[in-house]
Amino acid sequence: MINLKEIQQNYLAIDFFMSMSCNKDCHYCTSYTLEMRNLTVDLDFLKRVLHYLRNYKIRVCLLGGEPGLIKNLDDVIAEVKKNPNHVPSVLSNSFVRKRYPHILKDPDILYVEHNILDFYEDGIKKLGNLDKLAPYGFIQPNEYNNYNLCVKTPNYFKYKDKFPEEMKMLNHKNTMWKSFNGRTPNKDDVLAVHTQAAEIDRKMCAAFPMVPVIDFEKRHIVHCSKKFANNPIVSRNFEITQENIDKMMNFRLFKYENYCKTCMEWVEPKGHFPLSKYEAILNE
Amino acid sequence: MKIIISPDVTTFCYIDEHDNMVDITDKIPYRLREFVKRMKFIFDDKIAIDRSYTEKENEDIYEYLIEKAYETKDYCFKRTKFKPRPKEKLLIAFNKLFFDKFDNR
Repeated sequence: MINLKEIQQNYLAIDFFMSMSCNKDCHYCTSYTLEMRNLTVDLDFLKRVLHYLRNYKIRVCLLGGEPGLIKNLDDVIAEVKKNPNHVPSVLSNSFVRKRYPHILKDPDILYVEHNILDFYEDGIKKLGNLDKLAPYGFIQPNEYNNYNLCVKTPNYFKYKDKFPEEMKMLNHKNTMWKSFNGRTPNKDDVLAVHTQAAEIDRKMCAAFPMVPVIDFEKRHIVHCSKKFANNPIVSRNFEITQENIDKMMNFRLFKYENYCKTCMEWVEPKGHFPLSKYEAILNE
Repeated sequence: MKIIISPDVTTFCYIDEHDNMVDITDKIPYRLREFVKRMKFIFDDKIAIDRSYTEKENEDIYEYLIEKAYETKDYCFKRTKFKPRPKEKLLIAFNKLFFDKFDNR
């Protein structure tokens, strides 16, 4: 069974944006379209990308868009699982619970559910009908590698204390608290919750961001998932070749770009990645 | 210019043209000396401070790691086991940072 801590310490994460289509329109997200398109993943393309990545320990984050909309998601996951270096991770707004509930029962898949849109004065607005879908409500402590992912939006800080019962249901080992990030189209929203990271932290982030993207629609590598699609500043992109993948995985493909200078993405002051993670990767 | 460091990283010297050992500890900023101490976690006793390293080509990531270790005191806080190749690149980055700070003190 996969171990989240081990993965966080030793694996690099890459977002596979299989389709940009989503059934929700979160106000702080720019990486989606409500248009339903490219809902079947080209498995030949997927196999080629995974082959280029075969020698690297990768957390393959399957998303977009909403991965639950992908018609052949089971085939995609099966393909990722063929290589022991690759760990499939599915980030869903809870639609996967409805359409592919067996994913939640497979401890070899990291299932991460972004199931809260935002906190408001009169309630927590959820994404999806969590209360009608097994395992009902927020993800509770479990050994199946199922996690809530809760974004600390400006409203989270403003209203969280109004909901002690819900907070109790969220505060456990299977909830990931995520800083509000630079993906929002409104920079002021980010400034409300944190200041810009130090330049050295942004430089380290630029060398291998949290996280680069394989764009299945345009079929190229995208430097940074936070500068994507409808964002006014779009990230640099690169052709998908073995050479570029090797460079990327060895911190030689991506540079500190102009958009990194103004980037408001949260970076842990203690370091983008700990030194031990760089040690593990650079020693490979 | 090669700088010799005492084993406990408290004294920094160089050998002048008359083969005299010149103590330059006071000329090295305190923060830089403390940083050199932390570098033992990466290089053990094999810390070489030699200006010739600064002319060598390097990759950005190694320079970033050393800069981060300089900027953030607790970033490099326990013994590491980098293999010889990455360790050599870290040594180049370390020397570049050391002489940059030393020259611009």
